[in-house]
Amino acid sequence: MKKSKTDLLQGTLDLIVLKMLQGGAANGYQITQRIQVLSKDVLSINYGSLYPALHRLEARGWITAEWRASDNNRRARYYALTVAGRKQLAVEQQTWERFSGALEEILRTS
Amino acid sequence: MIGWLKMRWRALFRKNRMEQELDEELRYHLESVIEQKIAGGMSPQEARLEAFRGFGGVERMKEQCRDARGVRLINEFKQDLRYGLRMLAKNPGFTAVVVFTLALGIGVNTALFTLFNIQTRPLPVSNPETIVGVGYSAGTEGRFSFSDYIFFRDQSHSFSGLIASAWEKFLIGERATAEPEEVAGEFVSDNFFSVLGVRPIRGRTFTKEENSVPGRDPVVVLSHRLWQGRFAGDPKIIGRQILLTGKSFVVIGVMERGFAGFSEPFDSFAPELWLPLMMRGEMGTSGLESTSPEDKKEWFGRRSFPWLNVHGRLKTGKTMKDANAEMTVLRNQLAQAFPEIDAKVRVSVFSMDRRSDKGFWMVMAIFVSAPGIVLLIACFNIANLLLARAAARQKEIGVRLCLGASRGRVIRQLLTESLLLAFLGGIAGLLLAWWGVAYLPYYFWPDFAKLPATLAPDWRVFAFTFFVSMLSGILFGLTPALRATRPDLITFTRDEVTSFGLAIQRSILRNGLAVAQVALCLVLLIPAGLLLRFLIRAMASDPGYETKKLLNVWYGLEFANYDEPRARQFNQELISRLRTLPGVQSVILGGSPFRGGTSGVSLPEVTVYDGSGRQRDNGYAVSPGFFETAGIPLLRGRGFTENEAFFSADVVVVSESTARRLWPGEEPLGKMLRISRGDLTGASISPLAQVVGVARDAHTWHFSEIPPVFAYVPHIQRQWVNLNLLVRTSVDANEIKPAVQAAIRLLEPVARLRLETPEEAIATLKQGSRGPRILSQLSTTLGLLALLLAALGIYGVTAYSVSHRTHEIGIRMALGADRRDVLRLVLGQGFRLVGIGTILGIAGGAAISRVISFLIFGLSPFDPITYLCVVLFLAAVALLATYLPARRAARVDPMVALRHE
Repeated sequence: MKKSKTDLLQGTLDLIVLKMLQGGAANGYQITQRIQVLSKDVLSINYGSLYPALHRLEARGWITAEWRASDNNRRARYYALTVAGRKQLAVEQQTWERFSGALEEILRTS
Repeated sequence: MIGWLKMRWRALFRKNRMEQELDEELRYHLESVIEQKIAGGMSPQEARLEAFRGFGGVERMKEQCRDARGVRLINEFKQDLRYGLRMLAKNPGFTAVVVFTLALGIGVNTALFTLFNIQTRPLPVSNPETIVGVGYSAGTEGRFSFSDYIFFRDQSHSFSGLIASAWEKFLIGERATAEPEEVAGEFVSDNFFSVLGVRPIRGRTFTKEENSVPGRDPVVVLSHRLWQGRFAGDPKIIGRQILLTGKSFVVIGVMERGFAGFSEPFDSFAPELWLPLMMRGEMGTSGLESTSPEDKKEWFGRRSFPWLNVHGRLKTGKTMKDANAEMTVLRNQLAQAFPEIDAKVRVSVFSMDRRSDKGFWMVMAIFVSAPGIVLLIACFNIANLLLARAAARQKEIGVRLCLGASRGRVIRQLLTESLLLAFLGGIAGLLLAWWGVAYLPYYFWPDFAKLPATLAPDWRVFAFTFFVSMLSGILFGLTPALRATRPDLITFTRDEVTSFGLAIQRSILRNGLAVAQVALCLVLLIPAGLLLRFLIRAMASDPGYETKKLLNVWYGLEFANYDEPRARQFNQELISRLRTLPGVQSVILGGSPFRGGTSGVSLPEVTVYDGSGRQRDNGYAVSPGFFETAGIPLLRGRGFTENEAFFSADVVVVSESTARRLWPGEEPLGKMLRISRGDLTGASISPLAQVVGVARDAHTWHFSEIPPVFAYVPHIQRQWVNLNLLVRTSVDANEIKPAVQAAIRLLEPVARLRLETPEEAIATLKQGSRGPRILSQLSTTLGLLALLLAALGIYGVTAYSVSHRTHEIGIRMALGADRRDVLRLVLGQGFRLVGIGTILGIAGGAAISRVISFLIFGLSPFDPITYLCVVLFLAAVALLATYLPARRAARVDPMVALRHE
């Protein structure tokens, strides 16, 4: 029971992170900022789950990481989507849209 | 994909670097948050505190990041490995004992597997799996006549080629050489090499033209070994003239290395040269494989004269079943066209793969299971050691479990240690086997040094050793690991002796292992003892014929170019000269009581198979006066008369075993028996012969073995070039030898000559009985190895139980038990184990011996003396192994023992 819940959350987090990287490479801090801004402060991503998610996505080959100078001219780890990552994003987005559409239908009728 | 690999690579091997990066990444994040908060108006200190609060458990997150890399299992394995190595290094004595024990166990397995591997190697031809044998179901070892071969070759459609070959021995050498070398060779059909898909490395093979007219083309193809050996790799070998049994041949080719037709290249009779089939009539016969017809045209003319071994290559898409069906149809056509052919004889197509042979598997089962038992005993020993060690490590394991390691995790760690030990043992075993394999083949192939065979282990050997090592690692490691981590164990982290229930349970397991070791040990030792006794009895036994005052004389006149009248004259002159030699009692022409005489006689009604599954001859053709000369007494009836020999009458003398077997409780004289004689003008219809005599059993065929069925028929001399005389002497035959040799050399200096006393013949026959000897050596070696391991096992169990019962023994002694009581207590416990093991072992050993007795004729599987000796021997060793710890127990000082608590 517990597992399926985290799975769902994880899946969502993965989707969000991938989506955030669609616009271009970003470091972990930038990603949290983007999420906060884009979700109008509704979603606040815990760092505790962001970094494991990034490492997991990297391990799966959906994103790559490299060290680059940041805006404030310091070394930061930048993540970017790979080709496989782009495909995965498309798939996950579609799945999510189907799921949320279905959920909406259900909520509306009952 | 590359990124994926790179990441895992870094995660595995650049772990520190990765950790640093993770730290740096997180630090950057934290600092960015702080900066942002300062920019939002917080004081630096506040911002810092706030950011840290938001960050939460950093270590937990880092751990999650590590997990996310997906290499946790591997990293843990690395950790276990490192820990295991450290544990092994810390206990060098324990490690050495375990690795050595395993090396012995795995070593013998690897060594024997290496030999097994060689035995199952396919023929060195292209696509060996499509090569099949074709043979008649009965008579002359399934051979075909030339006409039959041509018929099947031209009419069958299942084969892409049907080839024929015939084995023969040749004399190779110049006329000037007095003692030329004997080599084996084959007459082969022109398509022989092309169908097998083997090529010459020099020159060419036969053309169709060279194999079309009998006796016209004296050309020869040499084996690589012969070229390298006798001709020292002569670069101008092609076109060179060589002499084969006195006839000149031109070398046209040299075959590729390792090719020896269908023979094992280790076989000392593997063919060394190949001649066109059409040259068969020109060359004599050694009588070892086939006998010549009266007219050399008959080799190719007569349908009822079988001498060719036939093999074929199946066409793609055709199975053996297809080929079998087709051959049966063709055979029926042939039988209809030629009424003289026995229609009942069928043609069968069989696999050339030795692995399809049942007998081979039976032998191999023994060869593989015997060392397996040794390894099993070794594993039990190690399991016992590990159980003892697990007791010593209980605190460590308990602490691990208490600190939150899961049971699976601890088991994995303990198993990693076991597998590490097994791996080290495997490597040591491989080295041991490598060394052993260099010597072992001499048991199997005495001329091994001459052979070009390679014993280098291939990947299959490595895979086998690895698999066996890992299997034994799990075998000896799993139970101790499961036991050591049992959940209820945590409560007993303090002292084992106080926990009676557990101690007893554990000792049941340990005792069980000891019992199993004793039993397995006997399973090996009993057959070893039986074989040893069989051999000892055989050595001492009387072969059933005269051994001291007998001399067998072979001579060949191939180099002297005699015509038949001249050869006859030579023979008569020689016999009369030998008769006048002092010390010679009688000389007869033809016949020998041991192998090497004229064979080719068999009793088709009584089928006898030897180990290789081939029907073998079970009779000799002998001259009048043979039985008196050879010293084989006739128990009933008589031997052959001159008349019977002259007219080759259909009479037969059988051995007493034969009479007992065929006509139990009846009068054998006058009974009729069908016999088949290779030299009886090749008739495939065997005549009925009347039994005129019964001779005492003798070891005629194999050393120390009385053939179950054996018959003698009158000997007829057909050719005078190559024959044997049997000389009975009144003094030791060895003293007469020089005089006999001189007499022959005086008559003809270039005669080929071989003089053999029965003792020398027995030495040769011993080679024929290599099977029991090898099995005996093997099982004795393995049995003693097993005994050594089992003794260590018994010692270990007893010593362990004594050390853990010191307290109890102390109390017993304090309450009045004296040393003898203690000694009896400990010995009694040890012997209970040995006793149970012995009973189980005797049952197992008897079962195995029964199987071996099917393979070795004359071995009695239930010889009580052997059983008694083996059990006593084992008991003596077990007594010693128990006595040493028992003595220590008896020396326990009650005061010290009680204070121990």
